Amino acid sequence: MLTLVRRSFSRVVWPCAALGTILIALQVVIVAVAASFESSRSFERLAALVPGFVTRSFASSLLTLASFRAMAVAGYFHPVVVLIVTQFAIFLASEPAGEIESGLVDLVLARPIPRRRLVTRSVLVVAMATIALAGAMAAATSVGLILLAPPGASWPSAWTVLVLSAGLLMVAWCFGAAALAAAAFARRRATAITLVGLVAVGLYLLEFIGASWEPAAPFARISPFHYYAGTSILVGRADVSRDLTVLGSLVAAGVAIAYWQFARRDL
Amino acid sequence: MSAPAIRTDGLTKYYGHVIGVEELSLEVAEGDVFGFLGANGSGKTTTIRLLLDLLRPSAGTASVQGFDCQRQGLEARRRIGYLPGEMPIYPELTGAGYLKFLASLGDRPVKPARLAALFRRFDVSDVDLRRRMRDYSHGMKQKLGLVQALMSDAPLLILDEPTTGLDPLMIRAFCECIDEIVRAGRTTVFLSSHVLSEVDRLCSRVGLVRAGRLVTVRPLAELRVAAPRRLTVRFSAAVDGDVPTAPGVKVVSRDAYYWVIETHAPLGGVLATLRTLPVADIEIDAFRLDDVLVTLMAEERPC
Repeated sequence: MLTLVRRSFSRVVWPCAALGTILIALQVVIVAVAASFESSRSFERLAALVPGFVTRSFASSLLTLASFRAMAVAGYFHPVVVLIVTQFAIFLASEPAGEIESGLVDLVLARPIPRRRLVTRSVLVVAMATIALAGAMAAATSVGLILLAPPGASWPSAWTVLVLSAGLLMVAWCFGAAALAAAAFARRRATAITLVGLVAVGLYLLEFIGASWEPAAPFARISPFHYYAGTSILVGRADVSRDLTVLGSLVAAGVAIAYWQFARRDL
Repeated sequence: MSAPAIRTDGLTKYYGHVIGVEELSLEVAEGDVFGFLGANGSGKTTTIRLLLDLLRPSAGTASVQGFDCQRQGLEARRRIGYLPGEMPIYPELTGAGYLKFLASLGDRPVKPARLAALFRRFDVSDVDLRRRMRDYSHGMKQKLGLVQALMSDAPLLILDEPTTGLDPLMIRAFCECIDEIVRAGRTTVFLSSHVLSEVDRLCSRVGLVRAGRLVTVRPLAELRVAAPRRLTVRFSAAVDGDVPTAPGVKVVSRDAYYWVIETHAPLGGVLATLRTLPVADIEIDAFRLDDVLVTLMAEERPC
């Protein structure tokens, strides 16, 4: 198993490192911008600009979001970050289809290796790579806060960073599991990536529309992104355990389908 | 009595409505060098991939040394050294890294001395092994494919088109290697090929598939005996008489100075009848497996 995992990792080490560098840089930049806002008292001025009736309706949410501690972790649920991490998980999880396409599966499975091991390998690779990315983001946030946070500014709690990281990971794993299931059916890697990648973008848009247009709200519940609401987590309104359970169930279902189909298919 | 190295019983694989193989029943004994022959798309690779459990049969069973290829796939594959028809590579790996990776996947230890002997045999240098596989020629990939199939000394070698892309020297090296392996022990070789000269050189038995069905399985020696021999007889003077007719003798063409005869009969009798004629030269064509197979392909019904 270790050999297979190491082989897969060595194939994605550069894309993973590049993505990690981008995400680290982004976190540091976000903390720097938040520090700049805080130093120039821009958050207070922004809050003052908000009309009174809006403040009364959404008081705690807006005040929490317009703050250093909220902005410093906004990168964890920024659409670009969420979609990039999700697409990377989809790419990693589609490896079995790539191995079938290239014929490498013949060479590997001609040896005494059970088929399920390739699926387990991909599960581990997706999990480890995305955890590494989330870990790098968290480390960048910490370093950014230590180096750039203005004196007296209120920092985001470690718990908040942990929950945001967990949510980001679960969403990425959710689509990774879907890609793994698709790869267990597909003969071409591009088929699995394109299909699940487009579905992910579509579901993100659905969640966005559902959040801003009431009639679409019920439909947004089918989107995994619905269960990773960064702003709700920041203001403490998210039902974290429910959200993680839903996402975890989707991950488990996708992985189970992948095991089942990969075991029975022609390679 | 030990189980046959390979046994298939009514093995069938359909791809939708397309026949991959159908009702294929075959036995390959331990120590045999079996040539599995057929045209493109006749079902050779499908059969091999069924043996490796990469495909799941629509019906029938296959076993390797008594282990069912589907239900006991791991045990079956533990006994197989496999060369795919098209050698897949990790382009970013060096040749040495590739072999190390594949060796670590199997549970048969690869002896360094064995590996060194194979490198020598197939003329694979240290420089070659340090190069990335993306820079390899087709022949070089094939050589590494042969090395990975042979390196673990598996008791059953399944080689799909093993000499594709190899130069004549390497084809000879491959044939010598197979000869050595077979002489040394109880290794069985199951070899699919289009190159009939190498089948003729290496195999003790051949199986012929056509449109997914097994047409015939015969010892090569039997094919040799059964094959018609073609004699071209040149005369020093015009011969007007009839060509001697005997059972199994057929005239292909003739004129006064030249006969071409095909015979299934022992050559001694034919030569005796020619003794009275002014024979200047006799040319006897060498046995050609492709002639025999083409005839068989046309004549035989699937068995």
